[in-house]
Amino acid sequence: MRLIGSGIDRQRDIARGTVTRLGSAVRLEGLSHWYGSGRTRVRALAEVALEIPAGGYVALTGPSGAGKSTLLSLIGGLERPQSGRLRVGDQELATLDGGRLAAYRRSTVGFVFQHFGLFDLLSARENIELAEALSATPAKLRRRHADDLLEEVGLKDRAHHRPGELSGGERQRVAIARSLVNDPSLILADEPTGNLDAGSAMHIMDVLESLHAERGCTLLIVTHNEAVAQRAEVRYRMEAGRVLP
Amino acid sequence: MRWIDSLILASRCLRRRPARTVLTVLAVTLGTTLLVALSSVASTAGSRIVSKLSNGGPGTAIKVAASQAGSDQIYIDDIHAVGPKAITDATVNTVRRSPHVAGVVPVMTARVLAVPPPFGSMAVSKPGAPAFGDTMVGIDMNQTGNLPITILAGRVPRPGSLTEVSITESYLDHSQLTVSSAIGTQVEIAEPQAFTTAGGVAFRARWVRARIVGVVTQQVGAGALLVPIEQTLLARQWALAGVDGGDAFPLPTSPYSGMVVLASSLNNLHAVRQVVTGLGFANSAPEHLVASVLRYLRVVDIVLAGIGAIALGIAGLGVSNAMLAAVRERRREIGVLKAIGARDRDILRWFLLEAFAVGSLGGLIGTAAGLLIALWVGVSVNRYLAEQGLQSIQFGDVSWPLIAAAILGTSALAMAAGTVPALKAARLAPQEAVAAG
Repeated sequence: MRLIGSGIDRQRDIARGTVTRLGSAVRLEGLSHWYGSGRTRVRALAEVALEIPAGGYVALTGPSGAGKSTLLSLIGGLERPQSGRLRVGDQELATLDGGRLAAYRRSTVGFVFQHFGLFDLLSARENIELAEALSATPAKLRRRHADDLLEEVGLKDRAHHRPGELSGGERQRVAIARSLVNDPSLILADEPTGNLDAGSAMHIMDVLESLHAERGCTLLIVTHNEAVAQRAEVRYRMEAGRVLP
Repeated sequence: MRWIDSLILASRCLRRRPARTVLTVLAVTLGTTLLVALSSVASTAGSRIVSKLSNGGPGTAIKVAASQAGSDQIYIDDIHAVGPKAITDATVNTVRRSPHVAGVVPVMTARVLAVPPPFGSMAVSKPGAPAFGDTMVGIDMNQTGNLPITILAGRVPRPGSLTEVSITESYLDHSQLTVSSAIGTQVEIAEPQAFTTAGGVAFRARWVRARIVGVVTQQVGAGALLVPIEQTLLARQWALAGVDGGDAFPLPTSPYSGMVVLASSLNNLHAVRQVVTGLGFANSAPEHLVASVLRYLRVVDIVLAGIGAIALGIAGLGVSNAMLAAVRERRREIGVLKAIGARDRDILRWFLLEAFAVGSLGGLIGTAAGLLIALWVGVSVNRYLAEQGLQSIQFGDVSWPLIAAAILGTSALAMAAGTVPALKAARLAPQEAVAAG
């Protein structure tokens, strides 16, 4: 378990007014998780303990099958922890029912995927509006907000383009804009640069870091890319379901 | 997520796989077409058969005679009369106020001498002369739709007209005219009156000339001339101003010679017959025959509905299969939607609306196609009937309840068929979004 120093710096940033608020702190204690049952049961996480302070910027690295994505799924509320404790902000995730877990994902978490996760029949703006529609935001507000977010990631002029008409880097920026619709306090990025060339990857990281700096949200990135991982304030390496010291 | 957002998303997703969407809609369309066409043809054929059994009138019509009913009248369809019994306005009003009675149409007949052209002034028929004795059947011409009357050519006289008549084929036989040559010609009608002379009872006539406007078959009363009741009323008043003409021309004893009573439905026909018979009047209605035929028609309806239901069931399986394929194909999208906060019910609604869109579109097109096919069947059948010299059948009646049931039914069926895939989609774990990477 390790306290990330930058979280303390962020408290100072808030005091200065350079960030609007501090993101959610994440605290894991003795977290274990398995897949399958009986003979096919596989342990994905083993007694993981980790603490990420509010507003921190952390990179998780490790080989395939190390449990990085599982950890991300658990923190993001995509799965429930089977053993141990997982607290995000004031919320013990294991106690949330399905509806409240969905509300948690909607309001607290912003996901960025390696495969972008965009609807190919919707334009860039509509993809963002769809995420807002889940919160039943009125259509007019949705459009204005989507345009603002596209502007924030530098894609205002590509609002009407569908994912198929955008480059990989642009698609990922749309996905990042979508993850911001509810102003999340925690951004979880699973291999956000995995499908991008080196130049686009660094550009995406610039965008994410800029958002992290301006919004004060907690940023957790899972990556194989050492260059990406090195940009984080703190790095953790995982192997065989454990976080290495 | 709001309904409208789910609907927009569903419609976009349907457009992504146009071939699959078209084939699924086509399956629903074919099922609906079959069901609507079969139901429509069966319904029309059924109502026409009942109408035919009722001699062109509604199946709910009871023909009442100015006669005393026999004791077994209620058990037989035909008239069983045992003596005269007057039908008065009071009788008509009593029946009209009885339960389940939709209407009462009084019938007044008058015996006349008809003289087709070329006209003579002879009041007595001679061998080779065209004049013949017959009966005028008078009714309220506004009620012809409720009576066993079929127009073969032309039209019926206008209500209240004193100068128009329609004729039956009996008149054509007497006058040796054809349908086309008879319409538009005039007929002289002698309305007799008996009077007393020193030598005994003699007869004189009130002469009326009327134009033939149509040829009909009718079972309202025995007579070659169908006229507005006002004409028979005048003839009757003229006859009553005279004396009894004995067996040759007796004075009418009943104000009306009969009446047609309309029950509110076939189910109430027996109850109304009981009322009429209870009042003592002989009557006839194809009650037992219609009931028997309706039972057979019901069996036919069930068989046809079964065939249509099987077709719709297959269409439902098609919808289900297409939706399952869509769920398999969109696992990642479902996962992503859940990851960004969609609830299970949002996903459920998305897929159910997709199934609903396919079902309602297929239902709409299928219903239109089914009605067109029913119309086409009608045209073909009528062409065949015309070739055989038979009377045509009117097809193409639009049954709004059938249309509404078909569209709503297929929409509901498609949603039911899409329920399992939609539930499967809604229960997909959100980590599919990460796993799919």
